[in-house]
Amino acid sequence: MMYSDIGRLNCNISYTTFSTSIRGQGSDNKEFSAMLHKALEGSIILESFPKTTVDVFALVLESGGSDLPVIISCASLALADAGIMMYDIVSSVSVTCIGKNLIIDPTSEEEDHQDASFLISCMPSRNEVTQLTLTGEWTTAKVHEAMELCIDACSKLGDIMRSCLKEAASTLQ
Amino acid sequence: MAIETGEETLVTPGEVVGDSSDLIAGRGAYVAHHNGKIYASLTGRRSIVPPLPGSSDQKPKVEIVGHKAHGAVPEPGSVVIARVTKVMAKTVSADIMCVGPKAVKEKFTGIIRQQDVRASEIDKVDMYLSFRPGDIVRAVVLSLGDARAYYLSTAKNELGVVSAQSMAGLGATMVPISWTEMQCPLTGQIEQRKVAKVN
Amino acid sequence: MDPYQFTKMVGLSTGEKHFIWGGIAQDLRSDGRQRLHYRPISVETGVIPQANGSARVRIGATDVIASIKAELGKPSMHQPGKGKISIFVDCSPTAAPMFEGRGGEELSTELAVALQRCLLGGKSGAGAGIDLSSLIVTEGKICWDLYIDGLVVSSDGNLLDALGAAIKAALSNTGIPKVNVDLGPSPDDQPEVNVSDEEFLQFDTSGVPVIVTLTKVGRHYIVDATSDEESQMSSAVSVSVNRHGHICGLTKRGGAGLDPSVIMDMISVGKHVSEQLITVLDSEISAAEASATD
Repeated sequence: MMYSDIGRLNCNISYTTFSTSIRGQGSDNKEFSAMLHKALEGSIILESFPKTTVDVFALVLESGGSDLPVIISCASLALADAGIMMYDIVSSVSVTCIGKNLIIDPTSEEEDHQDASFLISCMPSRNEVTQLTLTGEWTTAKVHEAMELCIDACSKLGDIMRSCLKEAASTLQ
Repeated sequence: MAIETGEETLVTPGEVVGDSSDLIAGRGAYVAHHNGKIYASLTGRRSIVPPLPGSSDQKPKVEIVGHKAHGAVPEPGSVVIARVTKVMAKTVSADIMCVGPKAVKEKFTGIIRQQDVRASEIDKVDMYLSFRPGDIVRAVVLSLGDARAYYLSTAKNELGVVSAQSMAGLGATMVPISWTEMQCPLTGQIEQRKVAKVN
Repeated sequence: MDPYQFTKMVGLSTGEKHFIWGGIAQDLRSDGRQRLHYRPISVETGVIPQANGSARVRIGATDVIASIKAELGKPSMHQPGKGKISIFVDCSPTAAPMFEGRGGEELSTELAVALQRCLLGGKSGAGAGIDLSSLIVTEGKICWDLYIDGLVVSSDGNLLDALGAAIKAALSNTGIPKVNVDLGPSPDDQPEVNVSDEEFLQFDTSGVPVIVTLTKVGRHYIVDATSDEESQMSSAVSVSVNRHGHICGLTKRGGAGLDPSVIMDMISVGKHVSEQLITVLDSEISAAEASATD
């Protein structure tokens, strides 16, 4: 591997064969891994560890919808626990649109019937979006609504993640 | 924001730990350029270190001490203790064992190039008369090196071989007798090394 | 690894970087364009005779080809009333030195995923640029499988917009043969299929969105970035917008975080730019179609 002045991030997501209702039908790991990489990349201070690689391996034990946002938040927690220098933790939330209704944190069933989807990962304390994808047809007003819903959820999730990190840190000491 | 020296609280990455107008960001903290606030970049305890008396910047420093102990990592300028693994015509490979007083947890390899062995007559260095596999060497990290190894240097009096065993096979630790020679206490045989001056 | 890394390898000197940054800040870019101006776009259709439809789009020095092949297939179990579309992208090693060997692979997948997201809509098929139910021949038995292949011939930035435009042009150039199906007397029989050589069905491409990528350099964002400009980007947002001004897909690239309000701003700017792009593309496509039939 080439020498690099900054650290590298390597992400890999895999599904267990029994994680889905039909055996061995996990989602596209390669695409998910790339999305995870993009969501986390901006949060890590890569300059703090030159010529080093951080490997993030995620294994989905049971897939019940909103897999990617859960993986992203979980991976960020793991990085924070590992003591990797980060700008902020990343929390991620997805929203599914069925008809005119926005459904936050959809289950697999809801995802199967979705007309449109919206996924956001953000650094809650810095109020910055690291990753955002959107499929299906949206009006600007609806995007706005979904964005506000998600940002709010992300900051709430971020608070939970922080208290969980602190709990783990205080029991360790 | 009031500054309470010595007060320790648990923080997580992204939490605001102060303002750059009245604090300096130390280890585990960084300054965001858009608002001048200091954020934590690690999970751990926040501590405020008062400024050193006589230093030019009189602002206290905020530091985050990680909740997990990490193995030491060599960085340019740090003094390391390494064990020589392979001696070649122009380079020597060594495994880094300690960074400063701390033992490393992972494997870090370093190489000492011919021009970095000693400070004088650097082009006349014979690597085989400077190191042997198994020698314990004190060296300074020159740079992060290439993808494989750190570049180490022993070009100082206090750097070089600190401990070596004699070739005689008895495994006796040799005694330094000059900056280029070591002697086996059992056989009296003299071997060539780049010896470190240990105080 | 960042597939856009190759753009960072374009060795720009500090002076050149300052020139690009300064130009963007003053709304006068290196090639004389304003921040929200596209380079001249040229469209050629019907460039590949073997395909059902094809188009070549050139935006400045960026050159891409899209080809569309239709094959008869079986609809999936979950959606018996719909055809299938797959999108693939290939980056030719001639397009940039970094694409040699397996260099272009990662970028190819990323582009393909972004295109799928922008053109194929949600899981239920709502909001898709192409109506999948128009691809059905016999429900649950026969449908058209549409293979969309994008080829990057030459790369000078803004590949996603160019590929999106090429696919739009190729789709409007696509004729799907008319199919006559003789269903056997019993439902278990293999139906007999006659593919017509003469009669073709044209696609309704009015719903196909265009993709506008806004690249953020410094505090400003620009459309249609060249590869030099892309090398200076902190992040980019690609929005696909259809004729009704609805957003059909969105992808963010680049590691740096963006403020949510900046993203909303970028979306509305993207929407505004897309109106002009749709007009330009429509006239280019119809001109290309007219010259192709001559």
